[in-house]
Amino acid sequence: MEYGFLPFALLGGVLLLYLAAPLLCLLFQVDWRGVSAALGDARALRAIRVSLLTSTVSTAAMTLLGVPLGYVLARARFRGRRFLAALVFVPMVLPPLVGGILLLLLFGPYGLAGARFEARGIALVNSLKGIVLAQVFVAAPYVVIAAMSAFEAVDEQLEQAAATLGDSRWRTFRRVSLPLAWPGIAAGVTLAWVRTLGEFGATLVVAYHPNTVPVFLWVQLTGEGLSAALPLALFLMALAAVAMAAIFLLGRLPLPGTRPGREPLRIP
Amino acid sequence: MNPGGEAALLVRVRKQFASGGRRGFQLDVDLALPPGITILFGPSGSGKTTLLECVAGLRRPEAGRIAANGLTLFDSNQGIDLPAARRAMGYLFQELALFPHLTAQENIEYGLGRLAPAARRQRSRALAESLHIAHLLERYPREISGGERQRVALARALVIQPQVLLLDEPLSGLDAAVRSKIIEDLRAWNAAQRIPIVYVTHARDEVHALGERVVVLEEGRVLAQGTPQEVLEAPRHEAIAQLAGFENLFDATVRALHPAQGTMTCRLQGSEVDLEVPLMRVEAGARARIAVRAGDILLATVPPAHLSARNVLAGTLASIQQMGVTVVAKVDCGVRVEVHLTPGARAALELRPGLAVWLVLKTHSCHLAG
Repeated sequence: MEYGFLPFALLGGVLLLYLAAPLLCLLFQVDWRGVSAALGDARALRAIRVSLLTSTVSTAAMTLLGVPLGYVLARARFRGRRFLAALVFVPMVLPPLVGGILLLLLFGPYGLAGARFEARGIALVNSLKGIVLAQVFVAAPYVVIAAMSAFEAVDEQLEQAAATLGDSRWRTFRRVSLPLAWPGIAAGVTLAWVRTLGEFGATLVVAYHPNTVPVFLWVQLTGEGLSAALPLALFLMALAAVAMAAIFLLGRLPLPGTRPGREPLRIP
Repeated sequence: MNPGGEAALLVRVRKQFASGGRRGFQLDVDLALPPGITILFGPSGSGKTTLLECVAGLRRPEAGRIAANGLTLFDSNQGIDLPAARRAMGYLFQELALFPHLTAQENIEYGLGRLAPAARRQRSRALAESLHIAHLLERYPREISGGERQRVALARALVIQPQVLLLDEPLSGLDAAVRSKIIEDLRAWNAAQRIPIVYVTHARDEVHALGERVVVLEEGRVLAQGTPQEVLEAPRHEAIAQLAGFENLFDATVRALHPAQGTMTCRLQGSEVDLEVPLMRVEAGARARIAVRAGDILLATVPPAHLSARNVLAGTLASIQQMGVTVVAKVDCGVRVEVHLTPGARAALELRPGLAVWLVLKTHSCHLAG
């Protein structure tokens, strides 16, 4: 490294150390036998099941709805496009607790939409549905923004070329835009998935029950203290590590259908 | 194919457009093009690409009518606007726009989705053979050379058997040898198919090599059209002069008029050089632009004498370079003058940079442009 980088490296190193130290410290403090016992606990297992189920459903929903939205925001020319794109950022800048309160106002038993479901005997809050609602609200922007920037990075002329070769918009999307944007989208989807697994604030307000892993973690922390919470924290960290690895690998994947090993794509 | 004797491609469009943040201007053309190659010639930003995009259906004109082989593709009065996907235009993009995630073969077959795989393969193979790219069909665009990419993109546009072929600077950025080979292929294809081909370029050699007709576009308007000889040999406009290969274009001030000789003397701007040029109806002191073909200038290594030519400029050879069969010499005479010679002349005169040379310009080789 060039000598001139030294002051930068020193300042940056302090931050890096601060970020890594808690992880290292944790690994030395964990009582590994306690971990397997704690994760064998029925309530913990239930929380893990709830978390995996809801995060899968909400990630699927976000992808199905968010990728088309990203495509429209990236490509369509219409008035108010920038405003709508800005709207996508709102859940990202809102504190999750506030997001939860907004969702409660809408979907709660006396809320505008919630009351109608309640009348048909469908409870949205304090149910798996409520958890999914909270997770989608908080994490969907990750999918939309990743999709938007991935589609924007696809040369528009490629889509025009597909059009002159007889492709409808849908066929162009399927044969050109999506394959080229996919690595970026996949990274966004993975990030969103991790975000749903860790979602706490909005979920706490909308659906305290059934407990997701983060909510159960909080219950354990406040009820029984640090040692009871640690194994669950480790579990969430393991999932985060999986996601990190996935994003890293996605970033090195070649374009679908091409030979591997050259020009890895960058994740925005 | 061509019912009622109607021109094969009718383009009457009006479209406001801005080019690269400059003041916008209006594309306003009315063209009737028969089958065969028509060169669309003009400086960058003159609206050539926009015109192609309107024809292909990638942009919508504000008003007008576009029809190909008797079929209306766009008509603002009748509210007809066929989407690009249904216009059957072969479009070769300036940046080629090859699909990076598909092999050359998959690129070529992209527009043949409605054919059975075997028929697709047969069509793409046959065309790849004739364009000399059959050996690289398995490769991806980034794995082949610029000229090969150009051929793949051309094949992709041709294989759908388009009713009109639109080529946007298809040969820019290729070396002369590759260019002339692709031009040969294109001529052969044109002879066989006889569909309207609109070929956008700003390179004069391509106009002469390919063009049956040339349309000169500037600032969205048709400046001139006709055969390359008609349009490019006698430049009435500065824009055409520049494009038509008058390599030397000088700003000048008229110093003296000589009505008796039919000439006038002009001082080239930023120099002490005077040229005697054909007389124009101007006042002394007026500004003029003088266009001179590099090939119309004689170069001598000793001071020439006893000449009929009125203009002899002394200078120094600044650089000399062979481009294909032309030797391009740049001479410093107070202004930089480009002179074209044959390789034989270069050898006979033992030309090298730094040599003192004299340039001879006939009065009537000095064209007034603008």
